[in-house]
Amino acid sequence: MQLSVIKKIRKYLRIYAILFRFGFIFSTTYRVSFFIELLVEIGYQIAFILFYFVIFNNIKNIMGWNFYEIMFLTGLNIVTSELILGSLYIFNLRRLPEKIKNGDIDLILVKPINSLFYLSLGIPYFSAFVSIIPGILLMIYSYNRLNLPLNFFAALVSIFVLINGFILAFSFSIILSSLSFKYINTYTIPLIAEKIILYYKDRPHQVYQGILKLVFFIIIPVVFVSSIPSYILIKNIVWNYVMVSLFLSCIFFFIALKVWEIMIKNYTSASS
Amino acid sequence: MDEKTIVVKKLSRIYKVHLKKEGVKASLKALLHREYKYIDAVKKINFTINQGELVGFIGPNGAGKTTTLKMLGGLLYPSDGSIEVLGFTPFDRKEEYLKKISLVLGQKNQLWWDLPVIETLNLQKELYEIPDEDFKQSLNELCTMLEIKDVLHQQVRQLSLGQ
Repeated sequence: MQLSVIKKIRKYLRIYAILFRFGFIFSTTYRVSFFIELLVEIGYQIAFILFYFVIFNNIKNIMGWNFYEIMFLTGLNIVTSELILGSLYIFNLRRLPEKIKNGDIDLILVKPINSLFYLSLGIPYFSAFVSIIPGILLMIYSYNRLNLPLNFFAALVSIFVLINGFILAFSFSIILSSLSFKYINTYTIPLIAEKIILYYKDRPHQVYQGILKLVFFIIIPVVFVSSIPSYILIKNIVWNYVMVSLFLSCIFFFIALKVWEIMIKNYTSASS
Repeated sequence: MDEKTIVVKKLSRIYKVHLKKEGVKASLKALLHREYKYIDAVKKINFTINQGELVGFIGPNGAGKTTTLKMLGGLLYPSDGSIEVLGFTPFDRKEEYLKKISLVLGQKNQLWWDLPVIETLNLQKELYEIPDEDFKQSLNELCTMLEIKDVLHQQVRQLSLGQ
C-alpha cells in the first residue's frame, strides 16, 4: 500500500517536472513575449511597492505593522501571487471554461492521470516563476532591515502555514472553477476566484474585523496565504492560527475533491 | 466460455439542449426565459463484447456512436444503465483502467503546438509508465515504418498538414 503511494507520488513528480520543462521551453521559444511578460510583472510589483511608500509617508504603521514589516509581507505576497498565477491560473483554470466548452479536455480525461491534477496544474506559466525573484529579494532585504535574529523554528511553522495557505487557495479556486462543468462558457468564474484570492490576501490580517474576519478567516481563508505566515516569521507564532490553517486546509481540500468529482459528471464534451 | 470484456446494460445518455432561436430579440428573450429539450442520444442499449472479438460500431449520423464510445472511455457519465469494461466502471477513471484503453478522437490533437514532437511522446511515456527499452523499441519501429524520424525534433506548428 505504502509502496504504491510512493510510486504514485514519484510518477506525479516526474510528470510535473516534464510539464515544468515544457513551460520553460514554451515561454522561452518566443523571446520578445517572454521579456515583455517579465517587464509587466515586475512593473506591477514596483507599482505595488510604491503604493506603500506613499502610504507610509503619511502614517507610521498599518494595524501594528511598520514599513519594513509591510515590505516583508509585500515580498511574500509577490511570491505567493506569482506562484498561484503561474502554477494554477494563467494556462490552467483561466482556460478551463473554454476547454470544457470546446470538448478539449476529452484527450486529458482519457489519459491515465488524475484529471484534477492535469487540468489545474498541468501547464505551468514559467514567466511567473521567474517573477518571484524580486519578491524573495524584497523579503530578504526587509528581514535584514528589521534586524531580527534568524528563528528556524518560526520559519518552519511559517512554511507550514504557507503550505496550508496554498492548499486553501487551490481548494477555493477548484470549488469555484469546477462550476464551469455545469454552467458552460462561464469564463468569469475562475477569474472571480483568482481576483478574490489575489486582492484580499495582500494586506495584514488584522484589517479584517467583525463580519469580514469571519469571511476572510473561515469562508474565504486567504489570510493564511501571505499575512499569517509573515506574521509568524517576523512577529510571533500564534498557535491558534496554525491549527485553524491545518483544519481548514483539510476541510477545504476534501470539499474541493468532492465538488470536482460531482461537477465533472456534468461534462458533456463536444461533437467530434 | 468466452471472457466478457465489455458489458453494457440499459445504457442511456440524455442531453439537455437549449433551443436557440435566431435573431437578437430571441436572444434577449432567452436571457430571461429559455426553452430546453431533452435528447436521448443513447437509449437503453445492451451489448456484450467478448475477449478477442473485433467489433465494428456503425450507424447513421446522430445515432449515438460517439456518445457510447465516450461513455465506454469514461469521458461522459451515463444518465442511466451500467457499463463494465475489463472489470472496471469507466467513469471511475481508475488509472489502471485508462492505461489499458485508447480512444481516437477526430479533430483532436494531443501534441503540444510549440514543442518538438518527441517532447510530447516523452510525456506519454511517463503517463503510461512505459519502460525505457519498450519505448525506444516502439518509437524506432514506428519511425522507421512511417518514415518520420526527421520530424521528431521539429516543432509541431512547423509540420505540414500531411506530416
